[in-house]
Amino acid sequence: MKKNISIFLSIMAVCMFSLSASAQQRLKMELDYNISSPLGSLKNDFINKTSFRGGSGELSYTFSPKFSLGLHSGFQSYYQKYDRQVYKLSGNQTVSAVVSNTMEIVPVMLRGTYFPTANLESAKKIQPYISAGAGFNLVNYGQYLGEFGGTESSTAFAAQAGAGIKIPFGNRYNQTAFKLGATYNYSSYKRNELTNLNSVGFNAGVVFALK
Amino acid sequence: MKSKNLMLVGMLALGALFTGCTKDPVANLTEDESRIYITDHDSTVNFSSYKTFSVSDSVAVINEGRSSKEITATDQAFINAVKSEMQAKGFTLVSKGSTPNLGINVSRIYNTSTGIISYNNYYNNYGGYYDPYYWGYGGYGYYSPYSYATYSITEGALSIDILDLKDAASTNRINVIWTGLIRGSGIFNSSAAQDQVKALFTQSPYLKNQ
Repeated sequence: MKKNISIFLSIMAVCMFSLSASAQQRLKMELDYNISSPLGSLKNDFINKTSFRGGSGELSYTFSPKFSLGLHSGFQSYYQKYDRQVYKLSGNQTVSAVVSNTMEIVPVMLRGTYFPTANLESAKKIQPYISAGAGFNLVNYGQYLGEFGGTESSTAFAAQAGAGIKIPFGNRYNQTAFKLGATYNYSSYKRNELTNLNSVGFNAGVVFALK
Repeated sequence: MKSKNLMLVGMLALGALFTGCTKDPVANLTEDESRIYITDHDSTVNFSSYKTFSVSDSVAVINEGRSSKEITATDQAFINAVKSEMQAKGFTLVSKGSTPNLGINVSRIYNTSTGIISYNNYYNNYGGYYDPYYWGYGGYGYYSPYSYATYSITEGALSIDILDLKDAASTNRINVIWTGLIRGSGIFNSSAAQDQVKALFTQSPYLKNQ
């Protein structure tokens, strides 16, 4: 998992150091705390507990007051321990075990955000937004029977749709703002009983101008 | 520039959050939760056709293909637990000499796995850990051709096998008709023996004489 985190951090670092001075208050950074609730197969077949261990960041370019496009990445860690249960294995084999499931997801996606009410004069007003993104997830699947087991890493297609509000609290030049929102996350994934990694997420964070 | 610093702080905070908040699923288990109980059996066998059983009076300790017989207090606790669980299932305990229908062997199995740890980072920074000045050679560098170390981990498991002695003469072999395996932390413990053996028998409801 450390590898996935370092991939995320280096993507962010590369973006940061490749900034040029050409844009005026158009490059923005967003940092969020994320909560995520599994849906569908992820919830029914693997982990139904909400994850409170998550965060995300986005580096975006503002094309107009209404539209920005950014590189989005983050991290979400799901975990659930099931009480001891007896499971049937192949043939006549039976195992009694405490099963622990873990799932760590690092999304890497391009995400566009649209502010329908924004214009050049509305920089200090609360603005609703909708967003959509697509890319891939770095997935670390883990399953343990008692203390025996391990993790397997892979990548999966990922898409996201979101909505929320932006609450500016800075001046009109630095455009610093709080952001509150929710996302629906789709990710195709096949392993054992899992058929997707869908989730609904809630995020709270700040967005600020870099240049 | 100020916002760049703010972002750096933010990234460091996020990084710390990510690494700090990932749960280690194995560290979050008690000894009892770490254990797994695996059973397998011959489904063509009707266990009700066997009435008597006997348990080997010592435990085979199997380590890397070599074996020896031992009887520690823990081994005795496991043997006693097997006897009482079998009796609870309706079988009758007899001595080895009175031709029991079933024979039961209890074994301790040790597996040693080896691996290699890379010490590259350790030796690359050796001068940083031990200043060459201390040895009277300030300004010199260290040279070490060693970059790795091997390690070995030994894991123990407890195995209980039920043998068909009743039909051994007619089939010309001793069939293992049921096997139970216990793996995990702290299994060789007298006070936990009964519960562990019970777990194996509880998940095998077909294993009874009624």
